[in-house]
Amino acid sequence: MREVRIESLVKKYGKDLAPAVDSVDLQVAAGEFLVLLGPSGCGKTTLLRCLAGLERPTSGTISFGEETVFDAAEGTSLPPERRQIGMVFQNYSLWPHMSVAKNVGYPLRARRVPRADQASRVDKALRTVQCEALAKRLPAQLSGGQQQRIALARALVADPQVMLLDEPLSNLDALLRVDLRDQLRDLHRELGFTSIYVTHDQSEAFTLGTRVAVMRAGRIEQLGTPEEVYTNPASEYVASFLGIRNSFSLHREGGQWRGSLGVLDGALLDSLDRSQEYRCFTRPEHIRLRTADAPATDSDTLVLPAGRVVDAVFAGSAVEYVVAIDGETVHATSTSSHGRFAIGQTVQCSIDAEHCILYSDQVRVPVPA
Amino acid sequence: MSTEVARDVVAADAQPRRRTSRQYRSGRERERSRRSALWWLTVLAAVGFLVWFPIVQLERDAFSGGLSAFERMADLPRIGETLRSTVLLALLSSAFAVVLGTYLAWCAATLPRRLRRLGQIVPLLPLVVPAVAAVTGWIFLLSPSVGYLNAALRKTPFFDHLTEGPLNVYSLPAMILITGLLLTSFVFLYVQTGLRSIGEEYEAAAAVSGAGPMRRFFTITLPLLRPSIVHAAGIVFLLGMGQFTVPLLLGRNQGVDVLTTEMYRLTLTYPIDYPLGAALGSPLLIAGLLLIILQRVIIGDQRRFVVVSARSRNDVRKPRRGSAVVILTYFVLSTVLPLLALIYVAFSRYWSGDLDFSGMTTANFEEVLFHRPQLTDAIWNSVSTATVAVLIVIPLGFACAYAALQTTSIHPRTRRLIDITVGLPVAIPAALFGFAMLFAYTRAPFQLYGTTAILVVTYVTLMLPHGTRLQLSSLIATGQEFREASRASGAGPIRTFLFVLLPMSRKGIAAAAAIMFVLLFHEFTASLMVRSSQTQVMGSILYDIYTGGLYPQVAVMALIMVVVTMAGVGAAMAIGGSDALEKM
Repeated sequence: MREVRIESLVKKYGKDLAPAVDSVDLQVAAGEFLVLLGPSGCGKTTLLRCLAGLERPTSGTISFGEETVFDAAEGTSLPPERRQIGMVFQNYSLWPHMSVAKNVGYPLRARRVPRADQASRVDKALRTVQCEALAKRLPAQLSGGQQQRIALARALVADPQVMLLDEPLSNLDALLRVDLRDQLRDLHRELGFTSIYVTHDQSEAFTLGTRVAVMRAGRIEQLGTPEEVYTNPASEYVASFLGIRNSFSLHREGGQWRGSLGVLDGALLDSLDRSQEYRCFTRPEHIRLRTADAPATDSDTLVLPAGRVVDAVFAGSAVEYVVAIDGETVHATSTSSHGRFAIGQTVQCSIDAEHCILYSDQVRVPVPA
Repeated sequence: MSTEVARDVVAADAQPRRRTSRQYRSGRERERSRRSALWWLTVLAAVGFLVWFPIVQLERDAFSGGLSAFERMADLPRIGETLRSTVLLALLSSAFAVVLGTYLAWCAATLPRRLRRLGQIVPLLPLVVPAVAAVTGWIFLLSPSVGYLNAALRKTPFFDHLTEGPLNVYSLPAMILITGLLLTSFVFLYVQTGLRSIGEEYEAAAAVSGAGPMRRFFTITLPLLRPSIVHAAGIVFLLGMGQFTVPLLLGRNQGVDVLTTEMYRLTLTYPIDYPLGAALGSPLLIAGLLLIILQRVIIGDQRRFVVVSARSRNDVRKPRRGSAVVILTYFVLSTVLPLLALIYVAFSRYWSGDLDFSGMTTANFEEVLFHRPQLTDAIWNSVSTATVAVLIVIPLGFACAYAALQTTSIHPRTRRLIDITVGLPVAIPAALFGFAMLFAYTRAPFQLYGTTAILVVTYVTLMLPHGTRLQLSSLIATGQEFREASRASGAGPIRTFLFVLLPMSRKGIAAAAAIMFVLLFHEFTASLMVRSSQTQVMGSILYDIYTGGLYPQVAVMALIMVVVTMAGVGAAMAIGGSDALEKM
């Protein structure tokens, strides 16, 4: 296992085009599972392919452990076959003309592992992904989930220094995806390979990653543990990418805090800088609903103007309410123990300070407790 | 060229016919299904007649006297040598084409990125030059005494002691090489398409598995290309077996004959010994059939080649500057040199072997265009017969293509028969087909010899596979959903056809027409078989002035063919997009 160090890496496809990867600095510790998360076109796959050597970066350096595999200034660029990596592709890329065993054995043959060891290592890799029985089949005879497992076995078989995974689960259906995701997590815990994993799915990112790097337009917007990124998105971009559905602006006007939802109230507002304009994000499950006549509690540190329930969707363990406030909509999820609200009913929404994710000028503002 | 491709598409589309339970069918529905069955049977009858009538007539005649035709064939002087030359020419030229074509396709894939689009087209340009024009160009270059290239070589110290040569265009090795060069573009076309559909992702997977470029090429790329290569090899081998232009122009001088030239010789005698011609053509027929079977065997388990293409950018196929050099060299050798020779001779007073630009003249062009009514007639005939043939093939091919896409309104057997029939003219060499046409249409009830009608019928039959395949691919590209949406909106088949299908495939139809024009202006083999001295086309009249020794006029005629073809290709590309060339 080796650490991966990326320094001011840039990849441009054309002089006049915006760079696909824009001066990225990143250190991945040995044995870490780093997830590159972002929407399509954010440069995460390009970055991964630069690590693999499948794309040649425009400038910067990449090193695996002590070895520099790419250095634009010195002109060093190890071809992919000499980087000692394992890679899993989005479409699996199992060679259709080779049996499963041949596919998995290929990295061993290519690296001239003694013939005597090959068979046992192929067996071991196939056992690791629980596909011993498939050795003689052709890829076309496998299901999507089986193909993905074989692809994983092929990437693991030669004990790579670094594992690169390019949206490996995105072509699978939902149940299988969760299943394979958990297996991948177990495998990583057991074998401890350094991995870099690309995905656009935040639940995948949060369950798999020891750290998550959220990317935007070729740059890393936020890098942190899953908990950090989830509770404390560094920018409005990250907050909206994570799908935090409610957001509204607030500013001081005529002695009141006003915003896109109307006049706001609550203890939280006293601690804000009156000359600033803010934007607040909050998750539906953090909006508390009460009837208009019920009294406010101490924890209601930000109170929104009264609104009307326009829709209530039963979603199993919770009810999802859509509340109209001053022409805007607010989403609130409440676990059914709170009692139910009827469509048309007037309700009051409030938020705890700790769940208000505030930004000013795109920058995260800590909320005083 | 590839009905096989079309056939695969059709096969993929061939779902089992949905059966409506009979008792639930209303009378009107029954009437409608009977009408559509009748309609498809009419289509089948039309194409069946066009394709099968001449072949069946000829073969029946061949066996009418028992095996006597084959005995006469065995008694022909030098028949062993003819067979040997036929097989040698086919084997060696197709082997040459397969190796060079595959190598060129690989070079095109490893060009520096900005040259790649160009690299996909340049190796196809030889297809623009009619074979008869290219061969004439080679004669001007490599004729032993007055070939320009030979004359130039004799000026170098290595060969200055020679009075002739060192190269001889009128020899079997030269025939093999020139045929090979002509066939290379076809191989390139198939392998390149194969390479593109495989994509680079499989090679990327091999690279990250630790395989270097050589290992990647031999363990991943080449095995995955096997279907394309086998397919291309089969087709160029057939084209080599049926090759006529090269041996006719180059072989007869030195008495190197092949089966097709023997058949042509028969058409010059009177009365024509048709059974003997059919016997001579039988090895070609058998080769075609064997090859189709052999291809299936060699490709084997199709699932091994189901590729998932990924469109991501890669730097796995390392761009090499050398690739551009290879492609350029091929282009110069196969196309530029013979064209330059043609142009030079066309503007010279006579063909002497010495380069002398002071005596350049446009007299040859004036002669051909204004003073030889025979030649202008031939040009006019080429244009008019091709136009009429294309006008007939377009609707016929459209019907056949449409039949291939039907799942409910056509009986599967009718569909399969149409498919096989339409594909047949590709598997049968044009020389044999032309010979059969001559036989079938010079006697009652169709006495067409000496009229342009025989040319039109021949052209329609030869173009049937192309007209069908080209329109089928454009129909597939427009997508089944549009037709289904129209039917689901309550439109009947005729309304769907007129207001959805036809407008949507307008572009495809026009491109198909342009490509068929190009192929027909190229047509030399079958034309030469069925022409008479009064009904000539560009290719056949060119051969006549060639045998008459009027070389500058031959060059002019060849250039006119090139120009007309280029105009056709230009039209096809303007209408059908820049990949129109690849559809030939």
